[in-house]
Amino acid sequence: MTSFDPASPGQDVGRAARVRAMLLVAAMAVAVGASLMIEDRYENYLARLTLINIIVVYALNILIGYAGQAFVAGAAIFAVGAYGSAIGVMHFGVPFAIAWPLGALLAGIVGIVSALPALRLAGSYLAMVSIAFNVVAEQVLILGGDITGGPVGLPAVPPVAFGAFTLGDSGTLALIAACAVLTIYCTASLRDSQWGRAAIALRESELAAKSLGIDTVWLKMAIFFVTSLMMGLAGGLYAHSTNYISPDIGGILASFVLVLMLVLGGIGTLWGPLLGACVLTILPQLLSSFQKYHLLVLGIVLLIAVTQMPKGLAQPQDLLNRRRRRSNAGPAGGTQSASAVPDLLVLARPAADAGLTLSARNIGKRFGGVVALSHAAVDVRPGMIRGMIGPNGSGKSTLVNVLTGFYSPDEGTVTLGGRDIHRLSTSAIAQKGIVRTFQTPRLFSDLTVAENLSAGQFHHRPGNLLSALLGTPGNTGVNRQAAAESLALACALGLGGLLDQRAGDLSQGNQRQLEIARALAAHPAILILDEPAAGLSHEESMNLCTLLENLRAQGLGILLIEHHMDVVMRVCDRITVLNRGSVLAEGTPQEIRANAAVQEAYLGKPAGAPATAAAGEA
Amino acid sequence: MAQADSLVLDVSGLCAGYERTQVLHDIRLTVGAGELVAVVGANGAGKTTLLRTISGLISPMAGEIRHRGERIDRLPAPQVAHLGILHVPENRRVFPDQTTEDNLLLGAYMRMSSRERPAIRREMEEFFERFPNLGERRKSLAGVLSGGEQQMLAIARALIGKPKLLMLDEPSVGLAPAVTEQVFETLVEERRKGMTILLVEQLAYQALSIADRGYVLNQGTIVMEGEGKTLIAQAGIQRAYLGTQPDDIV
Amino acid sequence: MELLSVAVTGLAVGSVYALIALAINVVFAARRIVNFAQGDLVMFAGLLSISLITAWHWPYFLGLIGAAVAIAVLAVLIERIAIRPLPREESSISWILSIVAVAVIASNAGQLIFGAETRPFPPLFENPHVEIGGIRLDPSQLTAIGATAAFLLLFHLALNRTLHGKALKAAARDPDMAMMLGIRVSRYIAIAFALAGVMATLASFLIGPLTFINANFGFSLGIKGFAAAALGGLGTLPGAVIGGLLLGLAETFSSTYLSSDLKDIITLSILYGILVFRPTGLVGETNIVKV
Repeated sequence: MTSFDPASPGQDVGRAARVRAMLLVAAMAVAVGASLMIEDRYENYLARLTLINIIVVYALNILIGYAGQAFVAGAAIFAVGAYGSAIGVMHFGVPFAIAWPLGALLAGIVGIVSALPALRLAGSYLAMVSIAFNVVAEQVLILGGDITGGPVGLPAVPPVAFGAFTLGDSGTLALIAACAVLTIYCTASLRDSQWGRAAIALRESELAAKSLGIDTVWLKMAIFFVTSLMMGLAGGLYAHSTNYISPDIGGILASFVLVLMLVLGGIGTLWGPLLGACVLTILPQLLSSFQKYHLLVLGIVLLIAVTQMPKGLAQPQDLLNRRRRRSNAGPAGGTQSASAVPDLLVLARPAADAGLTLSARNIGKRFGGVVALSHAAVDVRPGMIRGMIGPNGSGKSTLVNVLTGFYSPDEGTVTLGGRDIHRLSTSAIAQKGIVRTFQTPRLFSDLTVAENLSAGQFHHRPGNLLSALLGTPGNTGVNRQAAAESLALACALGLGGLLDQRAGDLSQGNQRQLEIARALAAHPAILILDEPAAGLSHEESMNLCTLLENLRAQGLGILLIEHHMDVVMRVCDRITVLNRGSVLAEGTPQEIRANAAVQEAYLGKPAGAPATAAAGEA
Repeated sequence: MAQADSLVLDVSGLCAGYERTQVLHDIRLTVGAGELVAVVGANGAGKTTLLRTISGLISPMAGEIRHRGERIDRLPAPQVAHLGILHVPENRRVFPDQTTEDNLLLGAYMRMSSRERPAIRREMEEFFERFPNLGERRKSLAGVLSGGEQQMLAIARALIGKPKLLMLDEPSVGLAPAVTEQVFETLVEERRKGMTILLVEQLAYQALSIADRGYVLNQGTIVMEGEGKTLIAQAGIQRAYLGTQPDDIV
Repeated sequence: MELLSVAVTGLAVGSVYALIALAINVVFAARRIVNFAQGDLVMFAGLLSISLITAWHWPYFLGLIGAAVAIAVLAVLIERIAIRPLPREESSISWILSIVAVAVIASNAGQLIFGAETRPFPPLFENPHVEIGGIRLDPSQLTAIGATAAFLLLFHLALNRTLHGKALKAAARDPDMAMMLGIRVSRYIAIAFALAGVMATLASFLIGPLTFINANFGFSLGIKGFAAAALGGLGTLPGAVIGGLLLGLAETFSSTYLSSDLKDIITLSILYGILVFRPTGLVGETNIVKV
C-alpha cells in the first residue's frame, strides 16, 4: 500500500484527541470539586437543573444540529427516561444503578420507534410527526393510572443511591456535573470522527451521502438511539434528584423550551448548547416575579430569533472549525494539473466486485404521461470510458438515476457482472462500487475539504461509534488513516492547499474537483460523472481529461455524461447518444461525430432538408 | 437601425447566476419590434438563466435590461409580465391540476375586466379551432395532455395575454420532429402577424432558419451574432456544439 | 335512537374539525406550511366574539362579522411577521419553530387579555332540543353541520369557478409560473391566510355551543385540526372534509362507547399512524420525488 507522509495531518489528528482528553480530566475535577463546595440548597437546585438541561440540549444538538433531523420532541424522550427510572425503582424495586441505565435504554428504544417516520420523511413532515408523537406521549403519561401516577405524577421519587449509600445533594450534583462534562466531551469527540462527519453529511445532502454508499437508514437509527439514550439518562438524573416528576416534563411546551435553548445558543455549534441551557434555565428563575409573562416572552424571543436568522436554521457557525485553519496543510494547491493519482483507488475493492460490467438493457421509465426513457441501454466496463451525450431532455440524467437506484425502471434490467441490481437501494449500489457525482455539486458545504473527503470514505472506513464518542486511540487511528487518504486525493485533484477550507466557500471549479475527489474516496469500481466539465476553462477541461485517462489506466470504469465535446471526443472509448429517451447511436467518437442523425438531433435540420433516419439502435 | 428607445428588449452588460455561481457574463443583445431573434447554444450555455433573468425571477448581478427605454431589471416578476413580456418556460409548466380551458383562461389573467371578457371568450374559441386536438380536450386536466399538446397550450396561454414580447425557452424539448415543426410554424405565423419573439433553442439550424437575427451563446457568453441565415453557414456553430476535430486542437 | 344521536354529534364535531382542517389546507396549499396556530385563531375569534356580543353589546351577527374581520387581519399579520421572512425550501424547519412560537404567544396573550376562565358562547337558539321525526336533536349541532356544508360548497365554487380561485390554485401549484402570468403570488398567500381567519371565526361560532371556550384549548384544537387535515390529505379540499368528519366520528364514538379519557389518545394515535404509514393522507396524491 502506498504510504503518504501522515506526519502533517496525523500530528494534528492525534493532538486534538489528546487535548480533549486532558481537558476532560481537568473539567471533571473542577466540576466535581465545585459541586461539593456548593452549600446553598437553592443554588444546588439551580445548578442541577442547568446541568441536566445542558445534557439534553447537547443531545438535541447532535440530533437536530449535526444530523439535521427535524425532531422536536426531546422532552418526551427525556420523560421516558425519567419515568422509566423512577418506576423501576418505585414499582419494581430495582436499584438505581440498574434502573437508571434501563430507563435510558427504554428512552433509546422509544427514540428509535419515533425515528421510524424519519426514515421516509424529511424536514417539515418529520417535525410534524414528532409534534404529534410528543402530544401522544404526554397523553400516555397522563393516562398511565397507577403506573405513571396519572396527571399528578410521581411524588417522592427516591434519591440517587448505590446500594445502601445514598447520595446527598452535593453528591448528586457532582454526579450530574460529571455526566454533563462527559456529554460535552463526547460531543466534541463525535464531531471529530467519521460518524460525526457522516452525520453532518446526512444533514447537508442526504442524497450525496447515499450516493457515496453511506447507509442513511442505519445512520439515522444509530443517531436517534444514541441521542435518545443521552436524553433518557438526563431524565433519570432529573427524576431522582428532583424527587417529583409529572407529565408536563414531557410535554410539547417543555420540548419547545429545549429547542429554544438550542436555537438561541447556536444550533450545530460546540458551545451553543451550553450557552443556551445556562441562559434560559437561570434567567427565568431569577426573574420569577414575571412568571406570568414567562412563556409569552420566550415565544416572542424565539419568533425574533427564527425570523431574523439569514438562512433559517440551516447555517450553523462552527467557530471551532474555522479556528483550526492552519498554514501547513500540505503542498501548494490551486487548480493545477492532476498529479499521479494514488493507487489506493481499487485496492479496497473485494476481488469479486472488480472487473464487473455495469449494464442496462431495455430501460423504460415514465412520469405520468411523459415517457422519459424507452428501450434505453448503456454499458460500462472497468478500464473503459463510456461517453453519454444527447440534447436537452434526452433522458441522460434519468438513465443515470435508474443506474444508481434513485429511480426504479418501469421496464428493463440493470445488472452488475450479470447480477440484477435494480432493486437495490442507492447506498447499496454505491457500496457495490458504483459511485456518481451530480450535475450541480452536492458538497457537504459546512465541512472542510478534508472532512468531505473523509466522509466520502465512511462506508468502508466508518470506525466504531462507541470509540468515536469516547475518543479512544482507536478512533484517532481511524481519523489518521482517513486524513491520509483525504490528503492524497486532494493533492491528486489540485486541492492540496485547500484542505481546511469550508467546502461551501470554494470556487466553482474547485467544487467540481472536490465532487470528483469525494466520489473517488468511496472506492468506486465504476465512476459516473455528470457533466464534470461544465463551466471549466479549456485548460481546466484538458486537465480533467488527463485525470480521467489516469483513472482509466488504473482500471476504473467511467461513464461520462457531458456536453463539452472536446472532452468527450478526446477521452471516450465509446459513446452512446440518447435522443428523446432512446438510444440514437452508439460507437467510437469518430463514428458518432460523422453520424448525420446525431448532428441533426443536436442542431436540428437545415431548412428544407429531409429528416435523416436514425443510424441504428444499441 | 432601431432606435434605443424603441427597442422591445435591450440587454447590456448582463451578469447573472445563482447563489455563488455566475452563469451569464456580460451579455449584450437586442430585440427590435417585429423581429424574431433566436438565441442558440448547447446545454449549460445559460439560455434558461437569460430568460429567467429577463422575466424577473432572477436578480441580475450587474448590467441593465431595458424595455422601450425603461429599465426593467429590478422589477418583480409579476410586474414584468404586466408590461407585456411573457415567457413560455422550459418544460411548458402548464398547471396540471386545472383544465386545458382554465390554463388558457389564466393566460388572460391580466386582461380580465368586464369589458374584455367577451373578447377573451372569443379568442379562446379561436384557439380551440386553430388547435382542434386541444379543443377536444378542453375540459381535461392539463396534466394528462401529451408533451406536444402541453407545448401548444403553453404557447396559446402566452399569446392570449397579448404579449409585447413573447419569449420561449426551448419549445422543442421532448417533442417529436413533426410536432416541433408545428410549433415552429406557429411562431412563423405569429411573426408574420407582427409579434416580437425571442426564441431560445438548442436546435440551432431550425431556430436560425426562421429568425431575423441570432446569437450563439456558449458557456455564458455570446460568441457569435448576425443574421439568421448567415449564421447557419458558419462553421463555428458546429464546433460550438459537437466539439473540435482532433486535428483542430491547438 | 342513541346511535343516531351519537352519529349526529360526531358529524357536528367533525364539521368543525373539517372547517379547521380546511383552513389549514388552504394555507398549506398556498405556502407549504402547517398553521399550528389555527386553533389559537379559533380561540381568539371565539373570545373576541363573546366580548363584542356580551360585553360590548354588539348585535349578534355584527359581532361575528367584526370578529371575522379582526381575525382575518390578525392572520395576515402572522403571515407577514412570522412566515414571510423565512426561506421557502421544504427542508427548512424554521417555519415550525416560528408557527409554534406564534401559537405560544397567542395562547398566552389570550390568557392575559381575556383571562383564564372558561366562557360560554352566547347561544343562537333558545331551545336546546328539537324534535324531528320523533328524535331529539340539538339544533346547534344541526347548524354546525349545515353551516359547514354550505360554506364548503361556497368555497368549492369560489375556488374552482372564479378567476381568483383559479389564480390562487395556480399560485399554490407553481408560484414562479403564476408570477410570469402576472399573478401576484404574495398577495394570494395573504388572501389564503385571511381566509383561514374567516374560517376560524366560523368554526368558533359553531363550536361554541358544543363546548366551552377558554384560552388554553387553542393549541390542542390546532393539533386536532392538523390531525384531520393530515388524515384526509394535506392541501386538499375533499381531504379536509373526509378527515374532519372521520375524526369527529371517531372521537365521539370512542368517547361514548369506550372512555372519554381515551378519546384524545385515540385521535392522536390515528394522526401518528397516518403520518407514518400514509403521509399523503387518505385522498392525497402521492408525490413524485425528483433528484
